Amino acid sequence: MSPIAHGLSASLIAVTFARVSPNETPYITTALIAATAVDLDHLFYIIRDRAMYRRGGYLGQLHLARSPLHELVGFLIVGLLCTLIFFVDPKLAYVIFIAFSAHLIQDWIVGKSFPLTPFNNTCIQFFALTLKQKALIDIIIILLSGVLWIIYLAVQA
Amino acid sequence: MDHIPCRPSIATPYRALLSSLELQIVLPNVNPSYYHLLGLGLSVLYLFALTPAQKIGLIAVILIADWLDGATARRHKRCSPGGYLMDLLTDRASEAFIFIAEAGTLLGQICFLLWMVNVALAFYSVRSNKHAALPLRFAILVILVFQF
Repeated sequence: MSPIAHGLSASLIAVTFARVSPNETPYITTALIAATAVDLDHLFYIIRDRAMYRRGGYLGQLHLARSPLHELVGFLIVGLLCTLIFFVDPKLAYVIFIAFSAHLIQDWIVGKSFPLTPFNNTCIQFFALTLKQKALIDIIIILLSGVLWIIYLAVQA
Repeated sequence: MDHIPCRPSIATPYRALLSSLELQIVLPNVNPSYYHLLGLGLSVLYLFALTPAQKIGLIAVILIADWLDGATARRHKRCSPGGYLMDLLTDRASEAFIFIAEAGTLLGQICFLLWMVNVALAFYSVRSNKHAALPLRFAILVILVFQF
């Protein structure tokens, strides 16, 4: 899924659950960052393996450009981090954990993943989706989340 | 990963009960991942559940979906190590949402800490080829039913 779809949908789930109001900009910004920042790991692997991507293309291959943070290990690390944050600011812990988790789950469901990396490199795929289907899911999520963001901001205001 | 990790002997009576129940029901030959998707969707919905009755209902359906994915895979010979990993991933993700929703209570906080143990046990299960996981969602369902 694209970072835009992740950012809009995962952060919306997080801010709605944590009852963040639209004037609490730091929480909304944190939710957006937590929902998208993990995708920065793609850049590292795309640059490192640029020769392979030039040959085979990028589309449908980005599951190979993920760090362990995108898998179960990342889930555990962020869970530990949020446990510590919870003692200082529970709302912040909710926002970070839910936005990050929703991002991971979306990636697991839509594409291929290596859940136990770096300890085991078994690849899994929930649904064998074509690029067209993935693009359609992306568009639907962006549109739906966009509408829900507008409603959320309007109702809360 | 070549094999599906085996269940501990402590789970045998419970598995036997479920297996006999499995034989009695009609299971369509669908991709078990649809049940995973249903479980995950309902776990996200759990974040917004307001009453204990809604929570009990959601966890019950999540647990049934969790059972049906395995039952469908067994019935239609779709069992594979990859399927086991998908089940593992779905369970940990589902637990994460349920326990973060309950993190405002002491019980929820304890469950969240135990969830991290469960994630670590997922790695142990695959490494040792023995399935190990704490039945946390069952525990929280039982506690919610008693509270209700």
